[in-house]
Amino acid sequence: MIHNPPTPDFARLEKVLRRQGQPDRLPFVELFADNPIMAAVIGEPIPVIPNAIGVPIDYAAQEYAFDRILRFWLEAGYDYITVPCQLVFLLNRQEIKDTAGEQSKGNRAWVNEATGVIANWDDFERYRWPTVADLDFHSLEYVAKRLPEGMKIIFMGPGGQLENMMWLMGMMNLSFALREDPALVEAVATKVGEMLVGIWSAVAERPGIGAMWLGDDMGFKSGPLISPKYLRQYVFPWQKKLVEITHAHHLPFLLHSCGNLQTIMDELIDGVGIDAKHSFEDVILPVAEAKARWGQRVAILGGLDVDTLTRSTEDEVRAYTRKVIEACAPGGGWALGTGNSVANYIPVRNYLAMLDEGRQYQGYV
Amino acid sequence: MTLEQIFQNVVEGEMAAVEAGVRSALEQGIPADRILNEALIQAMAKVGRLFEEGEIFVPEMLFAARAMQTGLKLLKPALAATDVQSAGKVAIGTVQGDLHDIGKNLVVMMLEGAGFEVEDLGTDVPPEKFVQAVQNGAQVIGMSALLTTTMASMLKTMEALRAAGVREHVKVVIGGAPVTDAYARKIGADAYAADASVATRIVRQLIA
Repeated sequence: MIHNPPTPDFARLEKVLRRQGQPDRLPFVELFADNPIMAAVIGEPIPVIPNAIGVPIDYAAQEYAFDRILRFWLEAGYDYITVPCQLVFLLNRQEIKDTAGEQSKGNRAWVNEATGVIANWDDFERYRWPTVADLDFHSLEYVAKRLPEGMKIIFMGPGGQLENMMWLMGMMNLSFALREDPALVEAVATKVGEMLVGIWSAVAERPGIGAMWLGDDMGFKSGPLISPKYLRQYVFPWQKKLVEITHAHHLPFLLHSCGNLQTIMDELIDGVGIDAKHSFEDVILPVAEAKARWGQRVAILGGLDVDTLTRSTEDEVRAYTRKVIEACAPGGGWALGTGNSVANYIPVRNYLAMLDEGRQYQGYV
Repeated sequence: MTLEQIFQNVVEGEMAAVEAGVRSALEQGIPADRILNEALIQAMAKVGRLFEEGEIFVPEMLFAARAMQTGLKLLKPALAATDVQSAGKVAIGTVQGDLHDIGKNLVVMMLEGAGFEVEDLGTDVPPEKFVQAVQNGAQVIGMSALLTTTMASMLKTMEALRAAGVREHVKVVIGGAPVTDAYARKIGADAYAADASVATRIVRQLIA
């Protein structure tokens, strides 16, 4: 449990996102935390909320879960809560036993990387494409009405443009189609992009929204998954539209994207127009180097390496956190958090130690 | 079609042209092992270099690998008849608890393209299956993992290899998003490979 009285103030995080100097204290940032982590922090189980087309929404269960999820974000010290899109594309998923030990979720779901649900035009025509009319705003409305003073919602999209293309087609099928059936790739890109634009337009204007967060993993360990040529053709234009919608509502746009994006960062900042970049791995580029390289042009978020947080002792995590804070906090434009998310295999004591070090930071006093 | 043209068509992932080229080369009486070594394997080595240098990406690598495999399939009967030895036997899989397989698939393709005999153990591979692969003659084991939580299965597999008494008979290479050289040393693996091209080079060195 965390005992400090929470004092949420979204303006604190917004100052970071807009790179307007140092906030009053170091803000915390996460895309999400797995349910077992949130449950351990608040001391109560949190049920998983199903989100699929055609599955009737149990509003009472949704409200029960969000009451507890909101408590987690507040008590852990965040100035916002992320609310995920309740509508996702139907995908070819597989589940196997989760290896996270006592914080296991039971099973871990994986998208089939070789074969998606769309391999050809017949699949494309048969696919049950979601529409904006399928969107349900109950969770957003419910949370907005219960936001403690100072807190806002950061909306988390249903995966990104490239992610959904890869998930729908499978990475291998998509790769072959890029050359052999570009019309199919274009059609899938358009369907995904139009859906994301529809969702963004519908959500950005709703009450309580403080920022919009797109998760769109585009890289692997040594570079982008697909050529920048294809990213420019099928991905960046749609991401740019989402940024424009976000900015039209005077909101900041956050991009979460894993992997090595060093060769496309200039295009993401200057072309797509992102306000903040999230997701960093020490084996690719430590967040302190990312802050030094791009921190004058874009906010840098989180970045404490998930592997280090998982496999280190609490004392090591504290020392590591202090080192990253000392490198990244001066001047503002950075918020403390993990490099990806609070995965259920990160020991809770290590996660709490990271936050505790953030609370103790005196650099902004 | 010349070996140089086959080489270039593999690099560019032109599957139909590679198929036609290999057929034509065989009809011209060019020995299968020459086509393999001077066109297909050399081409995949270049593809690996281009990938390492960031000149090409996963799709282009997949195209090249598929073109190479098309050519290799045509060569196999002739290679078997001439008793050409493979570069070595490798078994590779994504470790238990993990279903990520793009990286592993790329390594399989690159190893095949380098002339190795590869047993693809698939995903979610339990330690005992790796042990069995060694008992079946694999000289090198390759293990892949996407997450820190599944990376721990690499250690379990290393322990299983030792417990079964086969560790000294096999070289172990590991890779994947959270995997590092330090982790390879920590669990007693022989090497860490940063990508599919590096993996091929390392495997060649390990069993030289």
